[in-house]
Amino acid sequence: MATLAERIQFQEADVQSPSWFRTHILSTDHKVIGINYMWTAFFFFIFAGLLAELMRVNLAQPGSKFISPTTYNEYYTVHGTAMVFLFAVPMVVGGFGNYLMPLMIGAGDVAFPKLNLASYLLFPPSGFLLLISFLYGAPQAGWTSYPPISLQGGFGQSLWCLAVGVAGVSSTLTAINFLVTMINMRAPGMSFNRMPLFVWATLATSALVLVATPALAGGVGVQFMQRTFGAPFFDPSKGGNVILWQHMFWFYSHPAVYIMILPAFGIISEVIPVFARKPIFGYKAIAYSSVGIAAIAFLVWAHHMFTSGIEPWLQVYFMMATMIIAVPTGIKIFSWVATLYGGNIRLDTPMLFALGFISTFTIGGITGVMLASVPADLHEHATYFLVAHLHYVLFGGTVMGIFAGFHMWWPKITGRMLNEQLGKWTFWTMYIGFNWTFMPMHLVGLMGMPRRVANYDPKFASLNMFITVGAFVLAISVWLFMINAAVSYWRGPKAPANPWGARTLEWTTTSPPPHGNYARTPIVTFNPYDFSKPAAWFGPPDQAPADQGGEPTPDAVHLQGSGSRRAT
Amino acid sequence: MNRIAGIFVGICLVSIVLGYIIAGNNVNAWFTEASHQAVEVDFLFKFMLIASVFVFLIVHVFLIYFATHYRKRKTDAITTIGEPIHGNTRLEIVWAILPAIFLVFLTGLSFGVWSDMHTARPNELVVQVIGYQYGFEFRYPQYFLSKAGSQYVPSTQTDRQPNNILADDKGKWGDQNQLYLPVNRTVRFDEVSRDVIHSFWVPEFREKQDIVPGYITHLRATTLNRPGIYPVVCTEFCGVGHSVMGGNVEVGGVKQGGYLHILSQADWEKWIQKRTAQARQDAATLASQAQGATTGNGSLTKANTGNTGVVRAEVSYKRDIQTLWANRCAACHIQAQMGGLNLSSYEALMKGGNSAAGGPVNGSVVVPANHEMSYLWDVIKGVNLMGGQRMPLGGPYLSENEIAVVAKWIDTGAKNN
Repeated sequence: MATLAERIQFQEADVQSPSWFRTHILSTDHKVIGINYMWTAFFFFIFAGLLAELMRVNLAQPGSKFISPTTYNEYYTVHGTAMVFLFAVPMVVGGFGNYLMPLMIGAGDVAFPKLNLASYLLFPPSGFLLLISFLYGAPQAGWTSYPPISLQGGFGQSLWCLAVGVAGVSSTLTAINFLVTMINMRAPGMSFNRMPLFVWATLATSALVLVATPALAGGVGVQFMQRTFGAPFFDPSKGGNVILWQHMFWFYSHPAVYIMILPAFGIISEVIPVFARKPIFGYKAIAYSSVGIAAIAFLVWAHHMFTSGIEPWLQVYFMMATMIIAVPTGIKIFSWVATLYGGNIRLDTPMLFALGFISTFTIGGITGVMLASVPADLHEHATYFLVAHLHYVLFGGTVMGIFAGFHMWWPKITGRMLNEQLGKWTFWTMYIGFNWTFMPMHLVGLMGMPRRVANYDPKFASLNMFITVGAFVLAISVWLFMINAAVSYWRGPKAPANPWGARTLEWTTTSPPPHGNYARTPIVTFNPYDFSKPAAWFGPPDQAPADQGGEPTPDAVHLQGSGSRRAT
Repeated sequence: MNRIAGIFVGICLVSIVLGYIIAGNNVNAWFTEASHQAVEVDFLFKFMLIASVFVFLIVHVFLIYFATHYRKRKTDAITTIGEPIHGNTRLEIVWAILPAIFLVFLTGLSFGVWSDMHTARPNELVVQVIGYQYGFEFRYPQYFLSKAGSQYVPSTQTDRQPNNILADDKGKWGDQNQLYLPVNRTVRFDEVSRDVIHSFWVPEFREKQDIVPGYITHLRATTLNRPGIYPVVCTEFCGVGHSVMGGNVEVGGVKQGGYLHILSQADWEKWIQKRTAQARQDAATLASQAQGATTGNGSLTKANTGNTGVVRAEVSYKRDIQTLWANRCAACHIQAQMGGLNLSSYEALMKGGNSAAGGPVNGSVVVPANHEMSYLWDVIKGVNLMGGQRMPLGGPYLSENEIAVVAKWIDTGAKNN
């Protein structure tokens, strides 16, 4: 087998003096594609975040004095659409999934590198379609785009359908690619029960994307046909039904919540054992609960429609199913907290973000149960309480997870270290700004403020002003991260291969990893979180040490085990 | 181990104390309850809030305790690792089963409240709620079924067909945005939409129900003995004027939005009698108009509400056209500028629409002296729409006479007179 240097040389000779465009945009390397996904998605995060800040300025006082209600409706629609379809899903699946998954399973690349490139190349055009809609009057029907209001909109709404459709095709292609890679291309010794938990999460996510996205693609296709050719699907006067769209939309968009949050769960499950210096508590419970969540995710979609007038007995069923999905989620949270017990915890920036994630996501989970109870939902639905819940799940969950991931894998991706002090500042401004912004929203919602309004009852004025100030604190944290990233990229100290002392495979190769990832195929002999066991074997296969990890045996060393710093 | 058990017991005790405070707290200053259902929903909410406090404390106290107590000390070597604990099956089963049992219990509790909300009661007051862009219309079919004042006959046939409610006397003749209810009465709201999805929410009832085109949806509330004025809010996004339906909202210093007036029994009887009498009077006016129609002015029977439009020999912009905009187009084109079109003045109208703001036309919509070339006439007539929609959006459309008035104004030079 060739040495690392030989292999790199060989591959560079492959393409004669490749242009920058070839190596950075048209590369089929999963790492380049992953990085491209990340920066493109981050661009939309900044763009949609800017729209959110403008909305908060408008809402700082009643009367919609800053922007017109029309503009407000465009902003909130594009904010939601961009955050979900152009930031969260591409970031966690396309970005982190692409970069980390092949490295973590010890593969050289994904199964179909050219298909992978095709998925990425579909993503910027999808965002472009949404951005140019501002020239024609942007869509104004919300990211849910319920007909008939979405049928009244201008050409921008048709562009919305196209943008979401193209994004859907892109993520479906990625899902197929990932499933094949994870099933077929794991390194020797990497049984399913030795896969890092991020890979388990990506497995469950890819299955969700593959099954759910066609429902959305069908939905936007039908809406586009009705808008453009006058098809009657959602028109009651022609025998259509407006609720049909809601079923098609939520059959995708409820699983989409898990598409966005499961990879974040995976990131947290990677960060916590590394910085607690001990195995994850209940590996199998966390791994299988991802699969359990993915399965139940398809059975709860109509809990978004309790007030839509669906059959009463259906409401009861969806209430029960939704309550049950809280159980596997609770298992994960309790397991993460229990992992901290008896650890040797380093509170570096990725760990702070992971702990912050547990804190905020727990609140999002609690309000989720409150919304699952139908009678309570009849009050809370479509108010600022719901806005708060959604952001506790998708900002306090997904975005916190993404920032934990940024700080964890930045050295691996760029080969440079981030500034630790600035990272801690980023975390604290984000954690405080986030709770400052979204916690009071629960209260205004319960008091009677509906969502998606440019103007509101003056009695909510002071609380809204308070929330707007919090939104600016939150914005500062993102600026701090961008400054940190920029400084690190050009001037940061060089990163070693394994700055955090982690045990998953990606840390055994150089930072950044070469094209092809590993000089020799790693032979996996251990569980990824066993800090007392030797690392993977990179020598000749016939000299590999005896199988050391095995499957984790929960009771082998349980809470009664010996330890130097125990409370009793 | 003992310390962890101690913390656990401590969290339980704190939760009980906080729960006692939450359960006993009467927060009516912020969260007024105006219906029996609101009391039940609040009970359910407080129960969930107490459980939430417990879960919140369990996660956060242990998170902070572990993160500080087990953090790396300066004296620890870089190679120090934590205890190699992989899990504990018994503990994992406990924290899967206990929440599951609690959630099943919560489902049962919710189901109880839910059943109560869906139970029909004798002597229900029926109120029809009609959602439109942008407002609510309220009708009392048990007292007067239509503008013509006929009597309400409960019938499943009628109740299942939204078009029967909408077809009734074309146009808005019920009470706009003002809902009157007596105290201590169960009210069944039958909700239909004239255009897009709206949602009827009274925060003080703690209940909402979407108003869905093609359906009649229902909601029940039993009012408490708390006369007063409460906001009625639309919570399903319904277009540019959605926030105007937000309850207690001001637009340009003018109060907008829907209000619920809960009246004492005596006041209610006085009010409904007066309202029924007014409906009878409306019916009489309508009958005399119909008589007038048979004796000559036939087009009046097709007329919609409000300005029926009389084609005078000379059309004045100020008198005829601007009044028409004010009556029929204000929500979208005066209070807001949908499609960039502003109908608040002659100058603004002549500036026309803006395709960047969502309109199909960029620039002037009036071609003086030629109504057929004027897009303004096209949209109110419903011809040559060029991707736009007939106005007013979703109807009721302008009467033939009103359209003729606009055509005449354009043909006589579209002057600002």
